[in-house]
Amino acid sequence: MTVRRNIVLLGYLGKQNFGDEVMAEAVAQILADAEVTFIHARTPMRDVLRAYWRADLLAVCGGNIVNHSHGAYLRVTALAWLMRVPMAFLSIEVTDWPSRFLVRAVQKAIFRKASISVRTVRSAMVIARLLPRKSVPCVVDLFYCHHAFLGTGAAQAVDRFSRGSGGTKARTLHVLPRSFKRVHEGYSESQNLDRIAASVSNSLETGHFDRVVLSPSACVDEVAPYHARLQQDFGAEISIECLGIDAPITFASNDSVISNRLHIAKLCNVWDVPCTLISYSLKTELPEIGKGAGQVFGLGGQKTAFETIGHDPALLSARRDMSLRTFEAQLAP
Amino acid sequence: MENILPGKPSQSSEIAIERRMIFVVGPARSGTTVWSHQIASVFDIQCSPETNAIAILKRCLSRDLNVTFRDFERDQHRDLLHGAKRNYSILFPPELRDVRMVDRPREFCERLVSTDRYTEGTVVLEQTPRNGEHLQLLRYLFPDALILFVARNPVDTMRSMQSTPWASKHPLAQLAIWARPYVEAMRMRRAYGCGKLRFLCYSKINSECYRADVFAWLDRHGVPRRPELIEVVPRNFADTDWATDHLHKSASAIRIETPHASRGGDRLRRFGDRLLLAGMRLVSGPQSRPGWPERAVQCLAWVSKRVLGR
Repeated sequence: MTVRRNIVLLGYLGKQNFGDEVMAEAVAQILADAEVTFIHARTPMRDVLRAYWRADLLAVCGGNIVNHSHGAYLRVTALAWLMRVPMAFLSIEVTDWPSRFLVRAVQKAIFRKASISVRTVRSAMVIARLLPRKSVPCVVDLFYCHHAFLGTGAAQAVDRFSRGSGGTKARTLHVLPRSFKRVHEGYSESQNLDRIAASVSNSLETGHFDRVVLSPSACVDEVAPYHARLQQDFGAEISIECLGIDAPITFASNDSVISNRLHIAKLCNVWDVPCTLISYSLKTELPEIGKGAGQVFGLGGQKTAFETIGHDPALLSARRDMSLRTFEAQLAP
Repeated sequence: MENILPGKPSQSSEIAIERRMIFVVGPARSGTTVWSHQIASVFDIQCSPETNAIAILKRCLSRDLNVTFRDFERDQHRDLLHGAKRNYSILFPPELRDVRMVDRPREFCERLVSTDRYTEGTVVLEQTPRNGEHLQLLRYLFPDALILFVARNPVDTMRSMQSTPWASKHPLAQLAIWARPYVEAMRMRRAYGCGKLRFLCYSKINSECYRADVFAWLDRHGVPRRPELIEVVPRNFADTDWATDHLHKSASAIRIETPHASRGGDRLRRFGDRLLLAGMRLVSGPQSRPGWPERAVQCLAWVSKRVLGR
């Protein structure tokens, strides 16, 4: 495949956020022959301008980047639009349109010219409301197109996570929360603390665990409040360890995972490790995970549904093959 | 604490329907029914009525993204079914009632297409022409399905619409009806490639050689043949005498007559043929950007939409 020479890749990169790092690697792998420059929403404007000056394409990889409050990506994508850099939005999620009129108008103008693929049917429907003539194909999450998940067998290690056998190992309950420093769509840190503690309590009641391991899910996450809370609630009955962001984590088949991160839940789904995903926004309520081992708790505390894709490896494989074709077409000159 | 999280969650309510699907799509009056009957007479498949499943799904979700299966069962979305009477308590089991349709779009469509007539494991053929307007969604939801797109000369299609009692008589509306699936097929090809997609020519249905080629393609994709050929009795929209009579004609091997045309009409027909051929060639080859046939048809569709306002 012929690819563009200079591609700028925009994502939430450099924060050791598992999902975004894996998605960026997947795109870089599709763009094997291209020169790729990585930027993120907080990259200094001078560096962004320099990257755009010689860019053939701006590829925006993954994530819930359009919602009613809107994120920081708009500043970077609007600049690309002004500089007439072609844009490709790969496997993004659109939960809602921005509520502010000006932001919505800019977003519409950007989307009109860009090539877009979305990872949920809901996102396609949201876009279809405001841009009815726009062709928006649905694809699988870029996460599943990482080379570790291609082929017949799932990889034994991705990023800092590895898969263990679980035979004689002590049974571990892994807790990987994210922190909410600012008010995030009405969801607060204290609320998440309560829900994580409730989920840990639930797991300890229903299964026998030897230890609880707490680890941040990205380098921006603070786990100290979670550690204090779990120590206070369960410190007497079980040992609670706290790991750093660089510490490797091994998921054994008899372990269990509690997390706020969507892609950690998806990884557990691929590896058949029981996982509880605590949702904090709409994007974590519509994951294509499941398989019986995983469960998703929505914002209201109810167990939410998941797409059937996780139940059928053949369906996932067929959709992934189609999606790779879509990504290649989006990134082609 | 119990209020924050429920106790042990109930068992998963996933009920997978493992059926192979074949979708015959195309503009209205382009020959989807004739081709479906030809295929059903040779292959061991079940013909589903025209369910409009994808269109219903899309329309429900365009109104409200949080529509649940229970909401759909109520009367508020009954108008989308064109009066079809279904027992929804059988279609949607209680476990599905509170699930949002946007979470299980494939299951919704599968359940709407299926009826209790069909046994597990059979191949189901769905021939709603309007599915052609939502091909990308169809392909994403059913990546394992075979899609047969029936292509017919636009002038012939529009003339055929003129002859029906129900189709729009406005030439621009007819043009839009023909153009939308065509553009969508091109888009689908660009988005997902043309695996498991086959273009069928309406005008070649009488050619033994062409039919054998199509049947060989279906054989290659593992569609089982019938032990002996049968005549398929049409079962969809058989309410009116006109439709019943028309479909009985379709079920038997009909002769397709080229309509008599004036010189201007003949030129238009030839242009339509050229457009179709060029479009099909582009669809089957490597192409990542819209070609001139697609741009031309898109332009026509845009003009007709602007003029008609719909």
